[in-house]
Amino acid sequence: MTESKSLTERYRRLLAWYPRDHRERHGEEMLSVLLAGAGERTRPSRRETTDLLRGALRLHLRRMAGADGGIDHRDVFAIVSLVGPVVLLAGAAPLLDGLAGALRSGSPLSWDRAVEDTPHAVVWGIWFVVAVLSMARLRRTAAVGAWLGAAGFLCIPFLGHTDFLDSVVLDTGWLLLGAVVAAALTWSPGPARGWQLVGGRIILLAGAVVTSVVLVMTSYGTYGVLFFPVAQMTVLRGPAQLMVFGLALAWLVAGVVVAGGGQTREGRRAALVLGVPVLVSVLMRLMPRHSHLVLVAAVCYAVPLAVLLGLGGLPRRVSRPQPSA
Amino acid sequence: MSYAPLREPTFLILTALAARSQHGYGILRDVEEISDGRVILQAGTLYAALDRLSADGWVDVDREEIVDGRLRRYYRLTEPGAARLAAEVEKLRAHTRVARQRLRARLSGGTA
Repeated sequence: MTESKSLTERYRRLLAWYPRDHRERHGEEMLSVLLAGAGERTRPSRRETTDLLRGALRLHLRRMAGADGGIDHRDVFAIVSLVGPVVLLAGAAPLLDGLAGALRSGSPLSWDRAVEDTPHAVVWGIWFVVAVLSMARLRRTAAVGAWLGAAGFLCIPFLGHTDFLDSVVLDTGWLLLGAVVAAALTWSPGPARGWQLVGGRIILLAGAVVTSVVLVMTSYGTYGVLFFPVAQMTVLRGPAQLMVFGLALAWLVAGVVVAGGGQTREGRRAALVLGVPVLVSVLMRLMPRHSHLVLVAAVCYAVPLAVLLGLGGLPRRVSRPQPSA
Repeated sequence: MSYAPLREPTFLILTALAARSQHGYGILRDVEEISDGRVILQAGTLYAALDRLSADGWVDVDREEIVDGRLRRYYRLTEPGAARLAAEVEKLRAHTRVARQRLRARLSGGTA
């Protein structure tokens, strides 16, 4: 009896590697099959162990790729095409902070600095127009603007006053999201379908973006998206600013999840795509203090790209009640 | 309509369900019997295949029973699943016919 219990436990431990929805639906059933075929064994055979682990990996990969048929990617990108341009506007926080600073101080130096930011202002202006066009459900015009805006992010390193590599790293999140939004506006059913799925929640998101921008301006301001690790920022500005900055990111994520529709798989996937700039911002701050910029660029591009390509392994909810064993 | 060829375990699972609905352990034993002991499926492979076949709409749950306090779920072949299996059988039959003709030609004195 103890041996049988022990075998059951060992099988359960192996089954724990399966995706949650699969465990809930088939866990007890698989356990019955495994025990029926176990004979006199007191522990899983090596072949069984390998087979179960391989099966678990296969199901995780299938869910990550959305190949289990449970996700309509067209709807995911329809949501992104509507919500994405609004989320992107959060990236204008440092620019707005610089302009606000120049207005407050009125010093020629501040204005010189603001003028140097003109390429950024042009790009963010384009994205503002794209957001308006997208909300008006003018897909084609918005798509043209979005490709211009994405190209603008690529051009900034050549036009601005910042070092080329610095610029490439600083705009990582916005560049990646901008490209995805442009693609979504071009090839998905577009903002009209996104509006059907999101509806009035887009207003909540716009509120979250504005709040997030204000919080960034009151924490790190123009340094809000710059590459400074947590330790360095805390020394420079103090822990309170770090907390406010964290709140700004959390607020933006909450807005994205609520607007995208956290109750649906499509909404959660869309939120994952739209959260890329936040992910990049967090990654930048988690990197060691004296990391080489090439390494930072590699991490900040590779991780979000891996997330975007895998589209996350968020577990599926099981809507059907499970029979008790 | 052309399909990608079915992998052997998939073909055998669909065959096991062709005549009647079966539970997981029944499918494992039947696959072994159909293949004359050559293919011995493990539970992990079976349930990964069932997950995919269910998503494709080729198999579905027929009924559930509790036997000795344990869940037993029976699976059945759906109409699209039966059609896919029939298409595969036809394709294999055509290939087999050609292969048999070529072998006969070889045995009756043809040269390569």
